[in-house]
Amino acid sequence: MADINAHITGTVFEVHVEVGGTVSVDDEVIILESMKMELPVVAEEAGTVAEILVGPGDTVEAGQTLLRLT
Amino acid sequence: MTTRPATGADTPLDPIESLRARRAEALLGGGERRIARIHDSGRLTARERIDLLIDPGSWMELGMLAEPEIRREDMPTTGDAIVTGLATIAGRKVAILAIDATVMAGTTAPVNMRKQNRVAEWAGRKGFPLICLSDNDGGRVPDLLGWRFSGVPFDFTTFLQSPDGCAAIPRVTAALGPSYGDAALHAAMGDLVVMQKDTAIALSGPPVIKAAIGEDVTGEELGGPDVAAATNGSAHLVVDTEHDAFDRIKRFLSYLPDSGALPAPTVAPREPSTDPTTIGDLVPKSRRRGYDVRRVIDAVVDADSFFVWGERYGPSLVTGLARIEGQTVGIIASQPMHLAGALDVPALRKEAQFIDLCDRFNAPLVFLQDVPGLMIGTHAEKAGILAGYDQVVTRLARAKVPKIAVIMRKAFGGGHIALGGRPVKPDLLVAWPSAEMGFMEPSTGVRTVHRRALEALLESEGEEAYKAEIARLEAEWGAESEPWEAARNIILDDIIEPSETRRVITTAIDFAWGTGPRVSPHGA
Repeated sequence: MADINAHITGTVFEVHVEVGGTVSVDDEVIILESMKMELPVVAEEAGTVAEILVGPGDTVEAGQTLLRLT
Repeated sequence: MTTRPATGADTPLDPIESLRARRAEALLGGGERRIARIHDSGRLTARERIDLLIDPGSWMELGMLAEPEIRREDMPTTGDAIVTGLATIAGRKVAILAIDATVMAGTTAPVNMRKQNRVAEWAGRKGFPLICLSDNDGGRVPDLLGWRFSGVPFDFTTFLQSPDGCAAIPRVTAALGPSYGDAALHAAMGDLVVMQKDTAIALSGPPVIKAAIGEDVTGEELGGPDVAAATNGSAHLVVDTEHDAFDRIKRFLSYLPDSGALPAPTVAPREPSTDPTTIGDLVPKSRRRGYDVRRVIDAVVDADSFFVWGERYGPSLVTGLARIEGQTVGIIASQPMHLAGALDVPALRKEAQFIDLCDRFNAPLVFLQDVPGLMIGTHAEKAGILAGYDQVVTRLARAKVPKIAVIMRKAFGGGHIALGGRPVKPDLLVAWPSAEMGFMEPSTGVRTVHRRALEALLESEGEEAYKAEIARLEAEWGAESEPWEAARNIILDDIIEPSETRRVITTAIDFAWGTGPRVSPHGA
Protein backbone atom coordinates (compact mmCIF):
# COMPACT_ATOMS: atom_id res chain seq x y z
CA MET A 1 0.00 0.00 0.00
CA ALA A 2 1.47 3.31 -1.00
CA ASP A 3 0.02 6.78 -1.04
CA ILE A 4 0.78 9.25 -3.79
CA ASN A 5 0.70 12.78 -2.42
CA ALA A 6 0.61 16.24 -3.94
CA HIS A 7 4.08 17.86 -3.93
CA ILE A 8 2.63 21.35 -4.28
CA THR A 9 -0.58 23.22 -3.53
CA GLY A 10 -2.80 23.71 -6.59
CA THR A 11 -5.80 22.33 -8.43
CA VAL A 12 -6.20 18.95 -10.09
CA PHE A 13 -5.94 19.44 -13.86
CA GLU A 14 -6.07 15.86 -15.16
CA VAL A 15 -6.25 12.34 -13.70
CA HIS A 16 -4.40 9.84 -15.89
CA VAL A 17 -5.32 6.61 -14.07
CA GLU A 18 -8.42 4.57 -13.18
CA VAL A 19 -9.19 2.43 -10.16
CA GLY A 20 -7.86 -1.06 -10.86
CA GLY A 21 -5.34 0.22 -13.41
CA THR A 22 -1.64 -0.55 -13.04
CA VAL A 23 1.02 2.06 -12.50
CA SER A 24 4.75 1.79 -13.21
CA VAL A 25 7.54 3.77 -11.59
CA ASP A 26 7.84 7.27 -13.14
CA ASP A 27 4.32 7.21 -14.63
CA GLU A 28 2.60 10.59 -14.57
CA VAL A 29 -0.56 9.71 -12.65
CA ILE A 30 -2.09 13.11 -12.04
CA ILE A 31 -1.40 16.57 -13.42
CA LEU A 32 -1.79 19.46 -10.98
CA GLU A 33 -2.09 23.08 -12.01
CA SER A 34 -0.19 25.64 -9.97
CA MET A 35 1.64 28.86 -10.80
CA LYS A 36 0.04 28.72 -14.28
CA MET A 37 1.97 25.49 -14.85
CA GLU A 38 0.81 21.93 -15.33
CA LEU A 39 2.90 19.90 -12.92
CA PRO A 40 2.94 16.12 -13.19
CA VAL A 41 2.70 13.95 -10.09
CA VAL A 42 4.87 10.91 -10.69
CA ALA A 43 4.54 7.41 -9.18
CA GLU A 44 7.61 6.56 -7.13
CA GLU A 45 6.71 2.89 -6.95
CA ALA A 46 4.70 0.49 -9.06
CA GLY A 47 1.27 -0.83 -8.06
CA THR A 48 -2.41 -1.07 -8.78
CA VAL A 49 -4.66 1.94 -8.21
CA ALA A 50 -6.86 1.13 -5.21
CA GLU A 51 -8.49 4.49 -4.68
CA ILE A 52 -8.53 7.91 -6.31
CA LEU A 53 -9.29 10.63 -3.78
CA VAL A 54 -9.49 13.70 -6.02
CA GLY A 55 -10.98 14.75 -9.33
CA PRO A 56 -10.36 17.49 -11.92
CA GLY A 57 -10.94 20.95 -10.49
CA ASP A 58 -10.36 19.93 -6.85
CA THR A 59 -8.08 22.16 -4.81
CA VAL A 60 -5.32 20.21 -3.08
CA GLU A 61 -2.74 21.12 -0.46
CA ALA A 62 0.90 20.13 -0.64
CA GLY A 63 1.23 16.75 1.08
CA GLN A 64 -2.42 15.80 0.55
CA THR A 65 -2.99 12.20 -0.57
CA LEU A 66 -4.24 12.05 -4.17
CA LEU A 67 -4.49 8.33 -4.71
CA ARG A 68 -3.64 5.01 -3.12
CA LEU A 69 -1.81 2.08 -4.68
CA THR A 70 -1.83 -1.56 -3.61
CA MET B 1 35.04 8.81 36.71
CA THR B 2 38.23 9.54 34.89
CA THR B 3 41.39 9.11 36.87
CA ARG B 4 43.45 12.24 36.63
CA PRO B 5 47.17 11.50 36.39
CA ALA B 6 49.45 12.68 39.13
CA THR B 7 51.46 15.48 37.59
CA GLY B 8 52.71 17.52 40.56
CA ALA B 9 56.30 17.88 41.66
CA ASP B 10 55.76 15.35 44.47
CA THR B 11 55.12 12.55 42.01
CA PRO B 12 58.29 10.84 40.88
CA LEU B 13 56.82 9.75 37.53
CA ASP B 14 59.23 9.29 34.70
CA PRO B 15 58.60 12.08 32.09
CA ILE B 16 57.84 9.53 29.40
CA GLU B 17 55.42 7.79 31.75
CA SER B 18 53.86 11.15 32.52
CA LEU B 19 53.35 11.85 28.81
CA ARG B 20 51.78 8.45 28.32
CA ALA B 21 49.44 8.99 31.25
CA ARG B 22 48.40 12.40 29.91
CA ARG B 23 47.78 10.99 26.45
CA ALA B 24 45.73 8.13 27.84
CA GLU B 25 43.62 10.60 29.74
CA ALA B 26 43.13 12.75 26.64
CA LEU B 27 41.97 9.78 24.63
CA LEU B 28 39.26 9.12 27.23
CA GLY B 29 37.76 12.57 26.67
CA GLY B 30 35.10 13.23 29.28
CA GLY B 31 35.25 9.66 30.56
CA GLU B 32 33.14 6.58 30.16
CA ARG B 33 30.02 7.93 31.83
CA ARG B 34 29.83 10.97 29.57
CA ILE B 35 30.68 8.88 26.50
CA ALA B 36 27.78 6.56 27.39
CA ARG B 37 25.49 9.56 27.68
CA ILE B 38 26.48 10.72 24.18
CA HIS B 39 25.88 7.21 22.82
CA ASP B 40 22.49 7.08 24.56
CA SER B 41 21.50 10.24 22.73
CA GLY B 42 22.25 8.48 19.44
CA ARG B 43 25.46 10.41 18.81
CA LEU B 44 29.08 9.37 18.40
CA THR B 45 32.07 10.88 20.19
CA ALA B 46 34.51 13.21 18.44
CA ARG B 47 37.14 10.48 18.21
CA GLU B 48 34.68 7.91 16.88
CA ARG B 49 33.60 10.38 14.22
CA ILE B 50 37.16 11.04 13.15
CA ASP B 51 37.86 7.31 12.91
CA LEU B 52 34.88 6.85 10.60
CA LEU B 53 35.95 9.72 8.37
CA ILE B 54 39.67 9.24 7.82
CA ASP B 55 41.98 6.62 6.36
CA PRO B 56 42.95 4.15 9.11
CA GLY B 57 46.27 4.99 10.71
CA SER B 58 46.50 8.44 9.12
CA TRP B 59 45.70 10.54 12.21
CA MET B 60 48.21 13.08 13.48
CA GLU B 61 46.78 14.91 16.46
CA LEU B 62 47.66 18.51 17.34
CA GLY B 63 46.91 20.07 20.71
CA MET B 64 46.08 16.84 22.51
CA LEU B 65 47.44 18.12 25.82
CA ALA B 66 45.42 21.33 25.85
CA GLU B 67 43.61 22.40 29.03
CA PRO B 68 41.34 25.43 29.55
CA GLU B 69 42.74 28.71 30.87
CA ILE B 70 40.29 28.44 33.78
CA ARG B 71 41.07 25.02 35.26
CA ARG B 72 38.43 22.79 36.88
CA GLU B 73 38.99 20.25 39.59
CA ASP B 74 35.51 18.76 39.49
CA MET B 75 35.22 17.69 35.87
CA PRO B 76 37.37 16.43 32.98
CA THR B 77 38.78 19.19 30.81
CA THR B 78 41.00 17.18 28.49
CA GLY B 79 41.86 18.80 25.17
CA ASP B 80 39.65 21.76 26.15
CA ALA B 81 36.63 20.11 24.55
CA ILE B 82 37.95 19.80 21.03
CA VAL B 83 40.00 17.29 19.07
CA THR B 84 42.12 18.72 16.25
CA GLY B 85 44.59 17.21 13.84
CA LEU B 86 45.67 16.21 10.35
CA ALA B 87 44.79 13.07 8.43
CA THR B 88 44.10 11.70 4.98
CA ILE B 89 40.82 10.79 3.32
CA ALA B 90 41.13 8.59 0.23
CA GLY B 91 44.85 9.34 0.40
CA ARG B 92 44.37 13.13 0.32
CA LYS B 93 45.41 15.46 3.12
CA VAL B 94 42.77 17.15 5.31
CA ALA B 95 42.66 19.08 8.57
CA ILE B 96 39.94 18.21 11.06
CA LEU B 97 38.45 19.87 14.10
CA ALA B 98 35.94 17.82 16.01
CA ILE B 99 34.09 19.29 18.96
CA ASP B 100 34.21 16.91 21.93
CA ALA B 101 30.78 17.05 23.56
CA THR B 102 31.94 14.70 26.34
CA VAL B 103 34.17 17.46 27.74
CA MET B 104 32.35 20.46 29.23
CA ALA B 105 29.51 19.89 26.72
CA GLY B 106 31.87 20.81 23.89
CA THR B 107 31.73 24.47 24.80
CA THR B 108 34.11 27.01 23.29
CA ALA B 109 36.74 28.90 25.27
CA PRO B 110 40.09 30.55 24.50
CA VAL B 111 42.43 27.52 24.41
CA ASN B 112 39.85 25.59 22.40
CA MET B 113 39.77 28.49 19.92
CA ARG B 114 43.57 28.46 19.68
CA LYS B 115 43.39 24.82 18.71
CA GLN B 116 40.81 25.59 16.05
CA ASN B 117 42.91 28.41 14.69
CA ARG B 118 46.02 26.27 14.58
CA VAL B 119 44.46 23.55 12.52
CA ALA B 120 42.60 26.00 10.26
CA GLU B 121 45.86 27.80 9.61
CA TRP B 122 47.54 24.52 8.71
CA ALA B 123 44.82 23.86 6.16
CA GLY B 124 44.79 27.39 4.75
CA ARG B 125 48.56 27.85 4.52
CA LYS B 126 49.35 24.39 3.22
CA GLY B 127 46.36 24.10 0.90
CA PHE B 128 44.10 21.23 1.91
CA PRO B 129 40.46 20.93 3.06
CA LEU B 130 39.29 21.85 6.55
CA ILE B 131 36.56 19.69 8.05
CA CYS B 132 34.60 20.80 11.11
CA LEU B 133 32.54 18.24 13.03
CA SER B 134 30.22 20.42 15.09
CA ASP B 135 28.31 19.47 18.23
CA ASN B 136 28.12 22.10 20.94
CA ASP B 137 26.10 24.52 22.96
CA GLY B 138 28.13 27.65 22.24
CA GLY B 139 30.52 29.64 24.38
CA ARG B 140 31.61 28.56 27.88
CA VAL B 141 31.07 30.55 31.06
CA PRO B 142 32.82 31.96 32.96
CA ASP B 143 35.68 31.48 30.49
CA LEU B 144 34.22 34.02 28.07
CA LEU B 145 32.64 36.51 30.49
CA GLY B 146 33.41 40.21 30.60
CA TRP B 147 36.69 41.40 29.08
CA ARG B 148 37.54 37.83 28.14
CA PHE B 149 35.02 37.78 25.29
CA SER B 150 36.68 40.66 23.49
CA GLY B 151 39.97 38.87 23.96
CA VAL B 152 38.92 35.66 22.21
CA PRO B 153 41.88 34.40 20.19
CA PHE B 154 39.98 33.72 16.98
CA ASP B 155 41.76 35.15 13.96
CA PHE B 156 39.25 35.71 11.18
CA THR B 157 41.98 36.44 8.62
CA THR B 158 42.97 32.78 8.82
CA PHE B 159 40.13 30.92 10.51
CA LEU B 160 37.19 31.76 8.26
CA GLN B 161 39.24 32.16 5.09
CA SER B 162 42.64 31.32 3.70
CA PRO B 163 45.43 33.71 4.76
CA ASP B 164 46.34 36.47 2.30
CA GLY B 165 48.24 35.06 -0.63
CA CYS B 166 47.11 31.47 0.00
CA ALA B 167 44.71 29.49 -2.18
CA ALA B 168 41.08 28.89 -1.21
CA ILE B 169 40.50 25.54 0.47
CA PRO B 170 37.32 23.47 0.60
CA ARG B 171 35.63 24.00 3.98
CA VAL B 172 33.18 21.36 5.08
CA THR B 173 31.04 21.37 8.19
CA ALA B 174 28.95 18.56 9.55
CA ALA B 175 26.40 19.55 12.21
CA LEU B 176 26.15 16.31 14.19
CA GLY B 177 24.67 17.70 17.39
CA PRO B 178 23.15 21.02 18.41
CA SER B 179 25.30 23.69 16.75
CA TYR B 180 24.90 27.03 18.46
CA GLY B 181 27.28 29.96 18.78
CA ASP B 182 30.74 29.14 17.49
CA ALA B 183 29.58 25.82 16.06
CA ALA B 184 27.10 27.79 13.94
CA LEU B 185 30.03 29.90 12.79
CA HIS B 186 31.56 26.74 11.35
CA ALA B 187 28.41 26.25 9.33
CA ALA B 188 28.51 29.83 8.09
CA MET B 189 31.91 29.25 6.50
CA GLY B 190 31.13 25.89 4.91
CA ASP B 191 31.34 25.18 1.19
CA LEU B 192 29.36 22.12 2.18
CA VAL B 193 27.25 22.06 5.33
CA VAL B 194 25.64 18.72 6.02
CA MET B 195 23.34 18.33 9.01
CA GLN B 196 22.04 15.23 10.74
CA LYS B 197 18.25 15.55 10.73
CA ASP B 198 17.79 15.79 14.52
CA THR B 199 20.25 18.65 14.98
CA ALA B 200 19.86 22.40 14.80
CA ILE B 201 22.07 25.24 13.54
CA ALA B 202 21.46 28.67 15.07
CA LEU B 203 23.34 31.67 16.39
CA SER B 204 21.94 31.14 19.92
CA GLY B 205 20.25 28.17 21.55
CA PRO B 206 16.76 28.07 23.12
CA PRO B 207 17.79 28.87 26.75
CA VAL B 208 19.62 32.04 25.70
CA ILE B 209 16.70 33.12 23.55
CA LYS B 210 14.22 32.56 26.35
CA ALA B 211 16.33 34.63 28.72
CA ALA B 212 17.10 37.42 26.26
CA ILE B 213 13.88 38.01 24.35
CA GLY B 214 11.36 35.78 26.11
CA GLU B 215 10.69 33.60 23.08
CA ASP B 216 9.80 29.98 23.84
CA VAL B 217 11.25 27.96 21.01
CA THR B 218 12.63 24.47 20.46
CA GLY B 219 15.92 23.76 18.76
CA GLU B 220 14.04 22.25 15.85
CA GLU B 221 11.86 25.34 15.38
CA LEU B 222 14.90 27.54 15.65
CA GLY B 223 17.41 25.84 13.39
CA GLY B 224 16.23 22.35 12.49
CA PRO B 225 16.25 21.16 8.86
CA ASP B 226 13.04 23.05 7.97
CA VAL B 227 14.81 26.28 8.89
CA ALA B 228 18.49 25.62 8.19
CA ALA B 229 18.07 23.65 4.97
CA ALA B 230 14.77 24.96 3.59
CA THR B 231 14.34 28.54 4.85
CA ASN B 232 17.72 30.21 5.30
CA GLY B 233 19.97 27.82 3.38
CA SER B 234 22.60 27.40 6.12
CA ALA B 235 22.70 23.66 5.48
CA HIS B 236 23.09 22.20 1.99
CA LEU B 237 22.25 18.62 2.84
CA VAL B 238 20.20 16.84 5.50
CA VAL B 239 21.04 13.21 6.31
CA ASP B 240 19.50 10.57 8.55
CA THR B 241 22.64 9.33 10.27
CA GLU B 242 26.17 10.44 11.11
CA HIS B 243 27.48 7.69 8.84
CA ASP B 244 25.54 9.25 5.96
CA ALA B 245 27.15 12.57 6.79
CA PHE B 246 30.66 11.11 6.50
CA ASP B 247 29.77 9.44 3.19
CA ARG B 248 28.57 12.75 1.79
CA ILE B 249 31.66 14.60 2.99
CA LYS B 250 33.96 12.08 1.29
CA ARG B 251 31.90 12.25 -1.88
CA PHE B 252 31.83 16.06 -1.94
CA LEU B 253 35.61 16.23 -1.54
CA SER B 254 36.06 13.78 -4.41
CA TYR B 255 34.86 16.46 -6.87
CA LEU B 256 37.15 19.20 -5.61
CA PRO B 257 40.87 19.88 -5.73
CA ASP B 258 42.80 20.06 -2.45
CA SER B 259 42.91 23.82 -2.97
CA GLY B 260 41.84 26.36 -5.56
CA ALA B 261 45.42 26.43 -6.90
CA LEU B 262 45.00 22.96 -8.39
CA PRO B 263 42.75 21.60 -11.16
CA ALA B 264 39.75 19.58 -10.02
CA PRO B 265 40.45 15.83 -9.95
CA THR B 266 39.29 13.67 -12.84
CA VAL B 267 38.02 10.09 -12.78
CA ALA B 268 37.23 7.50 -15.45
CA PRO B 269 34.42 8.77 -17.73
CA ARG B 270 31.03 7.05 -17.65
CA GLU B 271 28.11 7.18 -20.02
CA PRO B 272 25.04 8.96 -18.60
CA SER B 273 22.42 6.78 -16.92
CA THR B 274 19.87 8.15 -19.42
CA ASP B 275 20.71 8.01 -23.13
CA PRO B 276 21.82 11.60 -23.90
CA THR B 277 20.25 11.46 -27.35
CA THR B 278 16.80 11.13 -25.74
CA ILE B 279 17.11 14.37 -23.77
CA GLY B 280 14.67 16.19 -26.07
CA ASP B 281 11.88 13.82 -25.02
CA LEU B 282 12.34 14.73 -21.36
CA VAL B 283 11.29 18.37 -21.82
CA PRO B 284 7.59 18.71 -22.73
CA LYS B 285 6.77 20.76 -25.80
CA SER B 286 3.91 22.59 -24.08
CA ARG B 287 5.34 25.63 -22.30
CA ARG B 288 2.82 25.17 -19.51
CA ARG B 289 3.83 21.61 -18.71
CA GLY B 290 6.19 21.08 -15.79
CA TYR B 291 8.76 18.30 -15.51
CA ASP B 292 11.55 17.24 -13.19
CA VAL B 293 14.79 18.69 -14.52
CA ARG B 294 16.83 16.15 -12.55
CA ARG B 295 15.90 13.62 -15.24
CA VAL B 296 17.30 15.97 -17.85
CA ILE B 297 20.51 16.31 -15.82
CA ASP B 298 20.78 12.51 -15.81
CA ALA B 299 20.97 12.63 -19.60
CA VAL B 300 23.83 15.15 -19.52
CA VAL B 301 26.19 14.01 -16.76
CA ASP B 302 28.12 10.79 -16.16
CA ALA B 303 26.00 8.06 -14.54
CA ASP B 304 25.59 8.41 -10.75
CA SER B 305 27.77 11.49 -10.66
CA PHE B 306 25.22 14.14 -9.66
CA PHE B 307 25.71 15.48 -6.12
CA VAL B 308 22.86 17.84 -5.32
CA TRP B 309 23.88 20.91 -3.30
CA GLY B 310 21.21 22.94 -1.47
CA GLU B 311 18.25 20.83 -2.55
CA ARG B 312 15.63 22.31 -0.23
CA TYR B 313 16.66 25.96 -0.43
CA GLY B 314 15.47 27.87 -3.49
CA PRO B 315 14.16 24.67 -5.14
CA SER B 316 13.16 26.42 -8.39
CA LEU B 317 16.84 26.09 -9.24
CA VAL B 318 18.76 22.81 -9.01
CA THR B 319 22.46 23.19 -8.23
CA GLY B 320 24.96 20.40 -7.84
CA LEU B 321 28.38 19.02 -8.64
CA ALA B 322 28.66 16.32 -11.27
CA ARG B 323 31.09 14.89 -13.81
CA ILE B 324 31.01 15.03 -17.58
CA GLU B 325 33.49 12.68 -19.25
CA GLY B 326 35.08 12.19 -15.84
CA GLN B 327 35.66 15.90 -15.21
CA THR B 328 34.04 17.90 -12.42
CA VAL B 329 31.35 20.40 -13.44
CA GLY B 330 28.83 22.54 -11.58
CA ILE B 331 25.29 22.10 -12.89
CA ILE B 332 22.81 24.99 -12.55
CA ALA B 333 19.40 24.05 -13.91
CA SER B 334 15.91 25.57 -13.83
CA GLN B 335 13.42 23.35 -11.99
CA PRO B 336 9.95 23.96 -13.52
CA MET B 337 8.36 21.80 -10.80
CA HIS B 338 8.79 24.72 -8.39
CA LEU B 339 7.55 28.27 -9.08
CA ALA B 340 7.55 27.26 -12.76
CA GLY B 341 11.34 27.67 -12.55
CA ALA B 342 11.18 31.39 -11.68
CA LEU B 343 14.17 32.63 -9.70
CA ASP B 344 13.22 33.94 -6.27
CA VAL B 345 15.58 35.32 -3.62
CA PRO B 346 16.54 31.94 -2.12
CA ALA B 347 17.25 30.52 -5.58
CA LEU B 348 19.43 33.53 -6.45
CA ARG B 349 21.30 33.43 -3.13
CA LYS B 350 21.96 29.74 -3.60
CA GLU B 351 23.11 30.31 -7.16
CA ALA B 352 25.54 33.06 -6.17
CA GLN B 353 27.11 30.85 -3.50
CA PHE B 354 27.32 27.90 -5.85
CA ILE B 355 28.92 29.95 -8.63
CA ASP B 356 31.49 31.15 -6.10
CA LEU B 357 32.16 27.57 -4.99
CA CYS B 358 32.67 26.39 -8.59
CA ASP B 359 34.81 29.36 -9.57
CA ARG B 360 37.13 28.92 -6.56
CA PHE B 361 37.52 25.18 -7.11
CA ASN B 362 37.80 25.05 -10.87
CA ALA B 363 34.50 23.41 -11.75
CA PRO B 364 33.12 24.62 -15.13
CA LEU B 365 29.57 25.97 -14.94
CA VAL B 366 26.87 24.33 -17.05
CA PHE B 367 23.50 26.09 -17.21
CA LEU B 368 20.30 24.38 -18.34
CA GLN B 369 17.75 27.15 -18.84
CA ASP B 370 13.99 26.92 -18.72
CA VAL B 371 13.21 30.09 -16.83
CA PRO B 372 10.11 32.29 -17.03
CA GLY B 373 11.94 35.14 -15.28
CA LEU B 374 12.85 36.56 -11.92
CA MET B 375 10.15 36.35 -9.25
CA ILE B 376 8.22 39.62 -9.04
CA GLY B 377 5.67 41.04 -6.61
CA THR B 378 5.68 42.46 -3.12
CA HIS B 379 7.04 39.34 -1.46
CA ALA B 380 10.02 39.20 -3.81
CA GLU B 381 10.71 42.92 -3.41
CA LYS B 382 10.60 42.75 0.39
CA ALA B 383 12.95 39.79 0.32
CA GLY B 384 15.43 41.78 -1.81
CA ILE B 385 15.12 40.37 -5.32
CA LEU B 386 17.18 43.25 -6.77
CA ALA B 387 20.15 42.64 -4.50
CA GLY B 388 19.83 38.90 -5.10
CA TYR B 389 19.97 39.40 -8.87
CA ASP B 390 22.82 41.88 -8.64
CA GLN B 391 24.83 39.46 -6.51
CA VAL B 392 24.46 36.65 -9.06
CA VAL B 393 25.16 38.57 -12.25
CA THR B 394 28.17 40.48 -10.94
CA ARG B 395 29.78 37.31 -9.57
CA LEU B 396 28.92 35.26 -12.62
CA ALA B 397 30.21 37.87 -15.04
CA ARG B 398 33.62 37.71 -13.34
CA ALA B 399 33.76 33.92 -12.97
CA LYS B 400 36.77 32.57 -14.88
CA VAL B 401 35.89 28.89 -15.13
CA PRO B 402 34.27 27.78 -18.42
CA LYS B 403 30.65 28.92 -18.60
CA ILE B 404 28.36 27.01 -20.94
CA ALA B 405 24.64 27.84 -21.18
CA VAL B 406 21.97 25.84 -22.98
CA ILE B 407 18.44 27.23 -23.43
CA MET B 408 16.06 24.28 -23.51
CA ARG B 409 12.72 26.05 -23.43
CA LYS B 410 12.00 29.41 -21.78
CA ALA B 411 14.61 32.14 -21.40
CA PHE B 412 12.91 35.30 -20.21
CA GLY B 413 14.01 38.51 -18.56
CA GLY B 414 16.55 38.69 -15.77
CA GLY B 415 16.16 34.98 -15.20
CA HIS B 416 17.76 34.33 -18.58
CA ILE B 417 20.66 36.66 -17.81
CA ALA B 418 21.22 35.14 -14.35
CA LEU B 419 21.55 31.69 -15.90
CA GLY B 420 24.30 32.48 -18.39
CA GLY B 421 22.75 35.07 -20.73
CA ARG B 422 25.10 37.13 -22.89
CA PRO B 423 25.82 39.99 -20.39
CA VAL B 424 27.44 37.58 -17.89
CA LYS B 425 29.94 36.51 -20.54
CA PRO B 426 29.25 32.83 -21.16
CA ASP B 427 31.90 31.11 -23.26
CA LEU B 428 29.12 29.40 -25.17
CA LEU B 429 25.40 30.22 -25.32
CA VAL B 430 23.29 27.86 -27.39
CA ALA B 431 19.61 27.02 -27.65
CA TRP B 432 17.42 24.16 -28.68
CA PRO B 433 15.12 24.97 -31.62
CA SER B 434 12.19 24.91 -29.15
CA ALA B 435 13.65 27.81 -27.15
CA GLU B 436 11.62 30.94 -26.44
CA MET B 437 13.53 34.11 -25.64
CA GLY B 438 12.50 37.57 -24.61
CA PHE B 439 12.44 40.16 -21.89
CA MET B 440 9.03 39.01 -20.65
CA GLU B 441 6.81 35.98 -21.08
CA PRO B 442 4.41 36.65 -24.02
CA SER B 443 1.25 36.30 -21.91
CA THR B 444 2.47 38.95 -19.48
CA GLY B 445 4.17 41.04 -22.15
CA VAL B 446 1.20 41.66 -24.42
CA ARG B 447 -0.99 42.63 -21.47
CA THR B 448 1.65 45.10 -20.30
CA VAL B 449 2.66 46.68 -23.60
CA HIS B 450 -0.85 46.83 -25.09
CA ARG B 451 -2.69 47.47 -21.86
CA ARG B 452 -4.51 50.68 -22.94
CA ALA B 453 -5.46 49.40 -26.39
CA LEU B 454 -6.72 46.14 -24.90
CA GLU B 455 -8.77 47.91 -22.24
CA ALA B 456 -10.32 50.14 -24.92
CA LEU B 457 -11.12 47.10 -27.02
CA LEU B 458 -12.74 45.35 -24.05
CA GLU B 459 -14.95 48.38 -23.47
CA SER B 460 -15.91 49.00 -27.11
CA GLU B 461 -16.21 45.47 -28.52
CA GLY B 462 -16.57 43.16 -25.53
CA GLU B 463 -14.77 40.20 -23.98
CA GLU B 464 -14.64 37.96 -27.05
CA ALA B 465 -12.84 40.52 -29.18
CA TYR B 466 -10.52 41.28 -26.24
CA LYS B 467 -9.54 37.62 -25.87
CA ALA B 468 -9.08 37.18 -29.64
CA GLU B 469 -6.77 40.17 -29.75
CA ILE B 470 -4.72 38.83 -26.84
CA ALA B 471 -4.38 35.48 -28.62
CA ARG B 472 -3.27 37.24 -31.83
CA LEU B 473 -0.72 39.37 -29.98
CA GLU B 474 0.60 36.37 -28.03
CA ALA B 475 1.14 34.47 -31.28
CA GLU B 476 2.96 37.50 -32.70
CA TRP B 477 5.17 37.71 -29.60
CA GLY B 478 5.71 33.97 -29.74
CA ALA B 479 7.14 34.26 -33.26
CA GLU B 480 9.44 37.06 -32.06
CA SER B 481 10.56 34.79 -29.21
CA GLU B 482 11.83 32.00 -31.45
CA PRO B 483 15.60 31.55 -31.29
CA TRP B 484 16.37 32.02 -34.99
CA GLU B 485 16.73 35.79 -34.93
CA ALA B 486 19.02 35.52 -31.87
CA ALA B 487 21.23 33.13 -33.84
CA ARG B 488 21.24 35.44 -36.87
CA ASN B 489 22.45 38.28 -34.64
CA ILE B 490 25.09 36.13 -32.91
CA ILE B 491 23.38 36.53 -29.55
CA LEU B 492 23.28 32.74 -29.63
CA ASP B 493 26.47 31.02 -30.73
CA ASP B 494 24.41 28.26 -32.28
CA ILE B 495 21.13 26.38 -32.22
CA ILE B 496 21.65 22.70 -31.51
CA GLU B 497 19.56 19.57 -31.62
CA PRO B 498 18.72 18.43 -28.09
CA SER B 499 20.45 15.09 -28.77
CA GLU B 500 23.75 16.98 -29.28
CA THR B 501 23.62 18.66 -25.86
CA ARG B 502 26.11 16.51 -23.93
CA ARG B 503 28.59 16.42 -26.81
CA VAL B 504 28.44 20.20 -27.32
CA ILE B 505 28.88 20.88 -23.58
CA THR B 506 31.85 18.50 -23.38
CA THR B 507 33.63 20.04 -26.37
CA ALA B 508 32.88 23.60 -25.31
CA ILE B 509 34.28 23.05 -21.81
CA ASP B 510 37.48 21.66 -23.30
CA PHE B 511 38.01 24.67 -25.58
CA ALA B 512 36.87 27.16 -22.94
CA TRP B 513 39.68 26.09 -20.60
CA GLY B 514 42.09 27.22 -23.32
CA THR B 515 45.62 25.93 -23.24
CA GLY B 516 46.75 26.94 -19.75
CA PRO B 517 46.29 25.17 -16.41
CA ARG B 518 42.63 24.44 -15.64
CA VAL B 519 42.57 26.82 -12.71
CA SER B 520 40.53 29.99 -12.12
CA PRO B 521 42.46 32.88 -10.52
CA HIS B 522 39.64 33.34 -8.00
CA GLY B 523 40.59 30.34 -5.87
CA ALA B 524 44.30 30.17 -6.63
